[in-house]
Amino acid sequence: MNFRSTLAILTLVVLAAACKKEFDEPPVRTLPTGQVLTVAQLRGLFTGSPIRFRGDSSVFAVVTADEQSGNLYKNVYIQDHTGAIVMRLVNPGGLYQGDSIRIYLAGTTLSSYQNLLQLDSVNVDNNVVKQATLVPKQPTTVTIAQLNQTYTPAWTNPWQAKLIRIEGVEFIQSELGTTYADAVNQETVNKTLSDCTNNILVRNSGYANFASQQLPTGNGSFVGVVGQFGDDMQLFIRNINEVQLTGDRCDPIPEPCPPTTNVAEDFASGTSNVDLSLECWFNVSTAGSRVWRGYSDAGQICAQATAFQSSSPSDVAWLISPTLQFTPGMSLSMRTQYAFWVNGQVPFKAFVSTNFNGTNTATANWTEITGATFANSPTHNFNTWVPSGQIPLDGFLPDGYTGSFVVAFRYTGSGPNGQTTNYRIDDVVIQ
Amino acid sequence: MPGPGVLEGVFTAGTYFTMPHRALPPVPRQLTELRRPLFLSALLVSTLLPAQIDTTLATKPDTTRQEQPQLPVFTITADDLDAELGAQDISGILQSSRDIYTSTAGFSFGSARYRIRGYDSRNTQVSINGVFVNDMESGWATWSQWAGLNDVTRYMEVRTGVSPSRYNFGGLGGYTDINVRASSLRKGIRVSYASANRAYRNRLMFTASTGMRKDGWAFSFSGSRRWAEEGYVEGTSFDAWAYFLSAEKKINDKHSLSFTAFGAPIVQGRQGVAIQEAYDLAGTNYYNPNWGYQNGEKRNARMSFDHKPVLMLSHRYKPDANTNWNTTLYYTFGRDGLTGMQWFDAQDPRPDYYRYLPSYYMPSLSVNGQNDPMMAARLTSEWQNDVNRRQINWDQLYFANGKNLYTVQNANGIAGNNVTGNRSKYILEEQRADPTRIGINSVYDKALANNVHVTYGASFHRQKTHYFKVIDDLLGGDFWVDVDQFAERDFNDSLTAQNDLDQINKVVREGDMFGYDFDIHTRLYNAFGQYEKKWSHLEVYGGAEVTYTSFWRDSRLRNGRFPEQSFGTSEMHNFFTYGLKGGAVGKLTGRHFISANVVWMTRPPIPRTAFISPRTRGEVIDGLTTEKIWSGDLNYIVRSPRLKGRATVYYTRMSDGLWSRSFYHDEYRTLVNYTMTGVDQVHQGVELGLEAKLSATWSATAVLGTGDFRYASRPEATITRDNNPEVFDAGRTVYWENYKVGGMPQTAASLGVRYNSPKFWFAGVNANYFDDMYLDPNPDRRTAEAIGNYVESDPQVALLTDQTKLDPGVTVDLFLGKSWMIKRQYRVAVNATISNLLNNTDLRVGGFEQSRYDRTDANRFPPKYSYLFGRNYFAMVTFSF
Repeated sequence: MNFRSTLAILTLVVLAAACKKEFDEPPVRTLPTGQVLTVAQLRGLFTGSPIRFRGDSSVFAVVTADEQSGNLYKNVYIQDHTGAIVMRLVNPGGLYQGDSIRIYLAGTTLSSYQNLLQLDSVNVDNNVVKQATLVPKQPTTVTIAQLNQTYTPAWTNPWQAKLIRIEGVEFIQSELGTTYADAVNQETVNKTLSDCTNNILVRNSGYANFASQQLPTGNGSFVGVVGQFGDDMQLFIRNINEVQLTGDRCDPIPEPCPPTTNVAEDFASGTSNVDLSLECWFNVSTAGSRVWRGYSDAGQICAQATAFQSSSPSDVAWLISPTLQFTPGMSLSMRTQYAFWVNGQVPFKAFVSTNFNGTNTATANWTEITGATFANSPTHNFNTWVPSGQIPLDGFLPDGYTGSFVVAFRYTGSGPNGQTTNYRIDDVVIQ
Repeated sequence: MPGPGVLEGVFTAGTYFTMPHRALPPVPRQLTELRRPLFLSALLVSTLLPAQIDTTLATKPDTTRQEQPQLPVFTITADDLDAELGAQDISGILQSSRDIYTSTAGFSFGSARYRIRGYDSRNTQVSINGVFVNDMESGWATWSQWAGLNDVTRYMEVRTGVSPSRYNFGGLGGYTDINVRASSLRKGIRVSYASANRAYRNRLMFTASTGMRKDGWAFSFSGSRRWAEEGYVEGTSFDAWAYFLSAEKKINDKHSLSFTAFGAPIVQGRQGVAIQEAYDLAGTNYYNPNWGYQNGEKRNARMSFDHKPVLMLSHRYKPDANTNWNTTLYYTFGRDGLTGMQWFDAQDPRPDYYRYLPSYYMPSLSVNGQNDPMMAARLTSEWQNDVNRRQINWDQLYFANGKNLYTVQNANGIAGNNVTGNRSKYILEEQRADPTRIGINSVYDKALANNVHVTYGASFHRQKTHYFKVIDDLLGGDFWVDVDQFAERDFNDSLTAQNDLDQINKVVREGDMFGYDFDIHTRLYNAFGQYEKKWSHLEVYGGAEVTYTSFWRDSRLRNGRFPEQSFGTSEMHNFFTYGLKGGAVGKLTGRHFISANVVWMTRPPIPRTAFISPRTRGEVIDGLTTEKIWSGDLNYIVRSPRLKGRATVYYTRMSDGLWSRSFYHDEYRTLVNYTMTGVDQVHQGVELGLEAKLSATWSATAVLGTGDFRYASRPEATITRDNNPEVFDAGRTVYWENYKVGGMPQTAASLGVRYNSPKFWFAGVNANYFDDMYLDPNPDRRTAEAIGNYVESDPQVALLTDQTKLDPGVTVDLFLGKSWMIKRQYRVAVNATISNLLNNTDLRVGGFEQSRYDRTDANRFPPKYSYLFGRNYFAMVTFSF
């Protein structure tokens, strides 16, 4: 073969570069519609024991609450003109508010979980066909009293899973200053919504994108979906912008305590093993759920905090004094004791702040009170009161300061990590 | 490994060397104590640093969210990509020079991923026609660029270790220069066909070269195709072409010009690695999770599409017999792509995702899984019997995509522009890294009087690598929306989720670019010089180089998570580095030589590891600095008619290196970036190679390489995510000192015999032994944060921190060949190699500890392993004239 022609042929062969392989699309598979049920008919099938669907049947409905905000996980609420139901998904994701969908029932199970009727084991890829998008349902306006009405059996409650709006509601006073959920530990928390006559729980996931927001202090309208757990009715927020509590409260917040010139607290008004609620004091948990409680030491009530038997990865409890007007020469004295000391834990610290707003510890600047004698191991014995001494407060405040301030006592621990020292304080005197 | 008696005379065995203790909090204590004898030359003992004992470690509170376990999915660092390439690259290190140790390391140890002195490809400078061709951004030699051109690339000069070089300064691991000038290729035509059952099954190759013709022209052409519908591993495929053209014109006695162009379009369906549970369920250690059936046809999700042609124009100037001056201008461009699965608001489509394995439901295996024996039994049965459970179920992905109606509101940033259609939940994306590079290289060398030879050279190179993603296949859906799923949920702000803030809610379809779009620019200026002098019994050389390197990032997208740092040109990072080397060879007699080489050099950080997360931002690791290296070796060489061999001891210390890995985390639904600075490595060991001519026809070889390659510092780690500006942790101390460098056997040995018949045939057999193979340690498992909550005696501590060592193994290779001359003009040759003759399918030769781990259950994310191929062959018939 001639060298040049060989070269030419081979060049052509090689330049016909490898083509990308194209695959055939699989034939379109459809889910038969079969018998069509309304949501009410679907709910009506349930008589107390789980029903697993096998044949061809479908329900048409609209998604009213999805997982987008993180408040719901593997739970999606659907509704048609006859009723509503919650779907529990095998895998998260894929359904959005306003989707008009057909649920092919084969493979799913209708069951009741803690009195809430649910369509379980829904696989979005296999059970859902989307018909249209952006056709949202409007919420139905109800009262808390209507929602709290008891139905027997519970699964006949027509409010279950409904998208509702309640007007004239507010979060109860004792919860103000807290956040919707525990975003630090990503734990779900119940809050209480009230119309000043009736109360209902609002359950918020620690994964929700609003978990770290403070509860609004006003009164107004609330939109959510209705859940139930045992005998408790629960509301779930689907979008935080639908919680519009900005009006005047029906249960007004009392005027804040005016700054005082001295504090002397012996906790005698407390009750053993009950969370402390002292006038003008602020007792709050900023991680986990533990707050300061009454503790009886030989019949004398003092304040105690502990993470013992707490399942939260972290517990932080604050006890904050009434607001004080600072005058030069003021000092703090108190006594402290501990029990069940855990090495490595720093359970207790005291602070002062000049900008605490009365509810939010996170936005205040805290200066640690140093130089005081606080009970600790091995310096002191357990179950033994240790006097702090007179601690002048001037050094922890700006030079020449004459404004108001608070003193805070903070407990830090962790049940799962074994940081469970019990820490007690008593006879707090600031003057 | 008992060696021939000769070896014992050279090396004093029994210098014991104890692995020091690694201590971890809360109190110093011994975690592991490994004792292994290391054969060390008495000559080098003094240079071996006594290994430090790692005893102090302050406990630090864990303030990050790292307790979430970690799982890698996409390995996207240079190291990982090239590790994948290396394993599947055909020509790579099979090219060896005449040194028996080097050639055995290439031919017999390559399949077990042996690397000479433990060095990765970055440490060897590869040049073609004198031009340095290692990728500027990763530092690696990309052998795939000229794969399939074996007929023309066989003329290469290879030196391992620090050595004199007349092409460049050379790397720590030596240099390879491939000469492809048309005049230097052997005249003739050569056609070959090979059959194999490895990555490919067929190879056809044609090469024709004219040699230097009377009219002063020389031409050469080569082309090949290598292909396999399915390779050794199920679901893999291979389709590669290669072409080469070279023309050279001798202008006069002093000048000649040559032009060379070559390239290799390669399409490859890749093999993936899995955990042992998946191998056991699938019933084979070659289970490949990357493929599945679509319409009854096997389809692989990890396809690579690679084609980077090179063009070169060389000028050769030879003013006199003692002088050479070669200058080459070159240009290379092309594509480098790898497809992979991507999904949005849907379940993980990969079949071996840990939640789809029975162990996830077996509490005895996984304390944090779910206790559901029924589910475990069902999954076990499905894995064993249903290929759609074990492999990707493509039909199901089409089914899900085809009915997911969705309306994108204000699509492409246009208010009121609503796009409705089936939004794909699952797609195939192609991640691209397309390089464009241009450069010039000029080297001058001259033999002076008094046996002195000098070499000088200078070069300039610039490279731009364009990184982006393209939609490869929407798998039955109509579009994909360019947003980040996790960010959408985590921030109550729809802009945060946008990958392109200048075109929000971007609707992308097949062939559209999405995700990220940026260039990494690199510039390199280099000059070097070398001096060689010979006496009758001594030769010495010395060399030096200086290099100035710059790199920066330039992004065309403004990312919603990093609006300030993602767009535009980043800061420019400049490094001045240098190297000094020297060595000597002494002739004891005409048959015995002693040589020594030493190098001190610095080198710039590799751009690919310097950026924390180049996909999303221009930030680099804090404290970027040059790497410092010193290395020395001492060799004894014998060359007698019956015995040829070499014995070497070497020591290398690399300091202030960088390390980075990115891995997919299913709970964050994003890539987590783990970067470390201050990574030191020590590589030391012994190399022995002997080739004995037993008779006129029989010869025998013995080769042993045993090393100790380990990390020698406590690097500091920075941990970030691709979708959140929050830094998980910075300055986290990694207690890595004295962990072994993984990824290759640290000990390999081979014994072989060969028969050469005077009747033009030969046959031989090699037995190979591999040992001291480790998995590279996952750094985060060796931190105070990982084990902080455990008491000293907790067995979890050992599970978390002990290094995974692979079992040693033996393989046997057989090779034979015969050739005939026909009419004194045509030559026909037949060669065959059978590797792993004993079909050892249980030999693990690689893998990695998963980056994701569960500190309370170290077994939950077990290592992934890869196995040496079982019995395989390569047989070739060549016709040449």
